[in-house]
Amino acid sequence: MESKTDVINSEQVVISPVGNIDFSNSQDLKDKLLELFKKDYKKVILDFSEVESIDSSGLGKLLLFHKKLKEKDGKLIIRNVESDYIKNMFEMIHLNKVITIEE
Amino acid sequence: MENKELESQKKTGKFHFELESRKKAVCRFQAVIYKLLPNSISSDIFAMALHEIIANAAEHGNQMEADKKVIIELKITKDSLAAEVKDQGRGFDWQKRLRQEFDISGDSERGRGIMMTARGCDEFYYNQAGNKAYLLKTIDF
Repeated sequence: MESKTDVINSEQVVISPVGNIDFSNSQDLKDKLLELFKKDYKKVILDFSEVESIDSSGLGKLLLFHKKLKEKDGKLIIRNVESDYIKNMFEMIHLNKVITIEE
Repeated sequence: MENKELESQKKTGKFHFELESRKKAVCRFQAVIYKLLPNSISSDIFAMALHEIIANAAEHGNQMEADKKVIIELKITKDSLAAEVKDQGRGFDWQKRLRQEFDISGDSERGRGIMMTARGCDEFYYNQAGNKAYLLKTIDF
């Protein structure tokens, strides 16, 4: 899975995945997130503007990472969800009650 | 599937697919389904649910053995979307899984697909063995 990483400062980083996050490639996202986790960023922003779909496998990786970050007082934020498919899914499972989702 | 065959199935609204138990095949199939369904929120949710159940069938049912197939029967009418998903595995205790509370923030990295499907579909159950799923979603435009 293709993704772009923009370091804002030593505390914050933005990661922008592209395309579908599904069970054929969600391990790539997990590896990427774990790499950022090891670098001790406190705020990780996932820019979803170029993500077309995500499945439960991808979602599992995000929730795991959210939990790990929270344990060391960090925060995961999902931003710029453009896809209606993803909006409907997040709404159905009330993901906003667990992970901060910003417009 | 040949395009010609797909076109003739479109006329009846009844589709038959056989997928290899490979991750890429399962994920590519999501786009095929998405194109067939009418444009509605119900379709998005149904497509998501169907993908989850096909992924489970390939991974847990067929153990990702590529020669084992996931067989899908899809029926699209103006009011509803229905699918049967059959794998060649031994099945599982699906009723036990569905009795577990839906906890999106749970510790596990996996295991949300079946609960999401139950939440998203109007009807969702398996045969007794647990290797053939049935999904139904009413179209709500």
